[in-house]
Amino acid sequence: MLRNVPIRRKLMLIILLTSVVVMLLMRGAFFTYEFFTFREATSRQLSTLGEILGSNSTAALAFDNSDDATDILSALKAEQHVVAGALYDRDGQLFAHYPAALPAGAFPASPGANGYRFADSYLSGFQPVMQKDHQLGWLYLKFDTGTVMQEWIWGSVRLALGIMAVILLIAYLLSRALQRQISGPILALAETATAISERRDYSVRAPKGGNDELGRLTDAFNLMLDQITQLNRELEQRVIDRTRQLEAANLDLERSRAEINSLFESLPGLYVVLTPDYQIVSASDAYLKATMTHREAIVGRDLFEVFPDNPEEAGATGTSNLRASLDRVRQTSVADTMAIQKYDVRRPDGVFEERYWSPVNSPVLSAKCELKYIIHRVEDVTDFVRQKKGGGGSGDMQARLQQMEAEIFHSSQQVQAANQQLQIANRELEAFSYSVSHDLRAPLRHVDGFTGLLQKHAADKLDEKGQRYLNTISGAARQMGRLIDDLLAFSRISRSELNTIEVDHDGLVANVIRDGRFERLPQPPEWSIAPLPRVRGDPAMLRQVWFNLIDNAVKYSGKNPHPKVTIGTAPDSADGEMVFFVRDNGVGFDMQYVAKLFGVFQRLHGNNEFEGTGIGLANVHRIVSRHGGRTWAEGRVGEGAAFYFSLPAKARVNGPGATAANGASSPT
Amino acid sequence: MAFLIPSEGLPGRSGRRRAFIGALALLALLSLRAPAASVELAAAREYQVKAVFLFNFAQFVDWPPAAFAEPNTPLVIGVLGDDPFRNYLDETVRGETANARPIVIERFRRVEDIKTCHVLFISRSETGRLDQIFANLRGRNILTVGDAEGFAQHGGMIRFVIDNNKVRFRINLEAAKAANLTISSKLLRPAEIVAPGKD
Repeated sequence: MLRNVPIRRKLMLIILLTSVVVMLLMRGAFFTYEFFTFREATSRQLSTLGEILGSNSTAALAFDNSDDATDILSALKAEQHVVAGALYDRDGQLFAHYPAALPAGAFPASPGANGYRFADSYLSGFQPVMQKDHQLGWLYLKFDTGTVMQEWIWGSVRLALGIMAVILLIAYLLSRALQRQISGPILALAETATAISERRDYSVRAPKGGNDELGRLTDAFNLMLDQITQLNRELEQRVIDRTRQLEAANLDLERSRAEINSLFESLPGLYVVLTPDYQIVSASDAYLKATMTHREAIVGRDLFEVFPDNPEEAGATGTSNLRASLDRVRQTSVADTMAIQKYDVRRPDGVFEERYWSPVNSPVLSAKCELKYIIHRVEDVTDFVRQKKGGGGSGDMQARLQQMEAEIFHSSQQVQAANQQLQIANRELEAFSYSVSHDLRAPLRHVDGFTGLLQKHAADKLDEKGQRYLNTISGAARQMGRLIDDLLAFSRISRSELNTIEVDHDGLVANVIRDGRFERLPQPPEWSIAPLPRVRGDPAMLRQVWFNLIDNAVKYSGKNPHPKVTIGTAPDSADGEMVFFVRDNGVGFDMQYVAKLFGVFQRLHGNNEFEGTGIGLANVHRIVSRHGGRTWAEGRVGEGAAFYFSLPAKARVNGPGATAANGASSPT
Repeated sequence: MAFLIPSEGLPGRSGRRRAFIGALALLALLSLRAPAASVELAAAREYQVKAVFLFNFAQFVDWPPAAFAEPNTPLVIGVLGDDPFRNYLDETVRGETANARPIVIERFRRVEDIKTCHVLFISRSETGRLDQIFANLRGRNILTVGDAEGFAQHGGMIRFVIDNNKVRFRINLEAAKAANLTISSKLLRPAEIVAPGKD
């Protein structure tokens, strides 16, 4: 109820309420006291009046003179509140009464006990009428206390109200003056707090009154404000410092960025950086000069919009060949070198100028091996081509050169077209061989299964020769099954996605050796394994690479009395690859057949000499190619062989053993 | 009913008195019931009232100290001549006191017989000898009461009269003063004051 009343009013109300309650209580006590005093006084007065009346009426009673008695009683008229009076003779008979007009029946029939009593707002009773020690009768008086009381109460209440009004006025004035002692400092505090919250001005301070609790509160409040101001100042300083640092860092960054930019732009070569959807991001000054464009005119635009084909030349292949090359880069994430390309350039005046280019498109991969940019690097070979066309030398020579040039250009165009067709054919072939291999497996299982059944069923009917034939059939079917499985796996390698992560090659190799169970061989090889670096790649596929190479090494060194397999890395080549190798001291091979090693179904040894399907190394080649690496081998008959594969060093991850170069890495 | 208090609680009323009062009430009742009752009965009632008045006079009159020999000397109410009270007077004063003095009733044939007396009722039988009687009583502190005609005229102090069928009295203040008696002013209220020599 009082919650939202201002504290000033609250204090005043409390003081006034307290005053009123105290006053009422006091007034109540006083009233009660007065009430009983009043009654007692009334009773006493009536008794005295009775004494006088009785004394006066003794003779009337003694001498049986009721007229006289009535006359005496009529004096009661003067007492306006005595409503009735009566005299009884010594026999208790009603002798005389007042008012005379009242019938006798209105008075008590006979006198009661002496004394006056309050009943029904009347004070009434009897007292004896004595002459000396002789009782002559009784006097009865009836006093209307109700009216008197009412008058008295009204008077009392009026007085109380008057006093209360005066006291309230004084209390109001006092409380108004005194409440400032408490509400003043609180209001000042509240005002200060409001000012702070509204204006956010923390420099304001609350004025302090005395040294009481409110004074302490004000002190604490001001101290808090001091601390807030201090904190604010520190915070501001910190923000300023941090901003300054950030600005400096930004400036540095800007500067280094501009430096890199200017470095890139002033590269002597002709460079354009493209997004994966062939928008021009940046270009070197040399490139702009060679293509007669301005940076502002080409950055952010589509490459082929900026450099369209020469509309004058009907068979222009510039845009289509460049697009095909860029598409290849986008698909394989491998750099694509184009043949010399005629690609005319439009001058600012709109006329096209003849130009010959030698472009290379290289991918820029993100840390996740996703294509981020394509760098298109070209060399303007127009002068060279023109020189060859119209340069010095005899006319015959020049004609020949010109013709050769034309032939080279023509054939390079053909190669490029053929390359595209080949890729399409390859993809179709893969799909075909996969489905064929898959379909071949079912009948083959029948051949193998029924051969087994026939062997059991006709075991006693067949002679030794018949048995051998059946064994041969069965073995051939199983061999064919393995071939098909390997073919399917090979096909799967081409089709499945690369899931590149950081690969622990040490772990892979250890895993392969353990799973290959080479220790169970009659002559387990002696292992020499160098620490291998962590390089990014598809772990499942790379495991297959390691398995095939190690399995080969163990297999072909199996005939050496002391087989030895060495695994390690060769020092990084100039191209930034990581080269791994597996070397054995087995039967080796003739280097003139080295080109055949990694082809499908290509075997240098007969199946009876060493088991195999001829697909293992083809798989190795395929997997490593897909990772953007190379495979090669070195060997000599009877002196063992070494198989190498490389992975792009960009995919390399720094880690323990990453730089470990194997001393025994040079091929024998 | 607060007014009906048992009569035993009332002070100064003995059982005998009550019996007497009962008898009186009965008589009064009878007289009211029979306004044409016998003269004898009316006279009896008259003297009954007069007996009570006689006794009551003793309450309103102060005698000089010489009137009593000792503090407990009884107050004597005397009747001179024929006694018209029968035994009412004796009944009235039985057990009563006046100023802590017992009350004694004495009857005298002649005025000379009176030795000690404080209130003297002079019967009608003495009407002819009133002068002689008052002369005899002169200087003595005796309140003289009578009901004969001319009683006050002859020097009597209080004379009973019948007024409107009620017993009233006249007082001769001079005579009382002469006898050195102090009559309470209260007694004068219901009384009729007579000048000396009048009746």
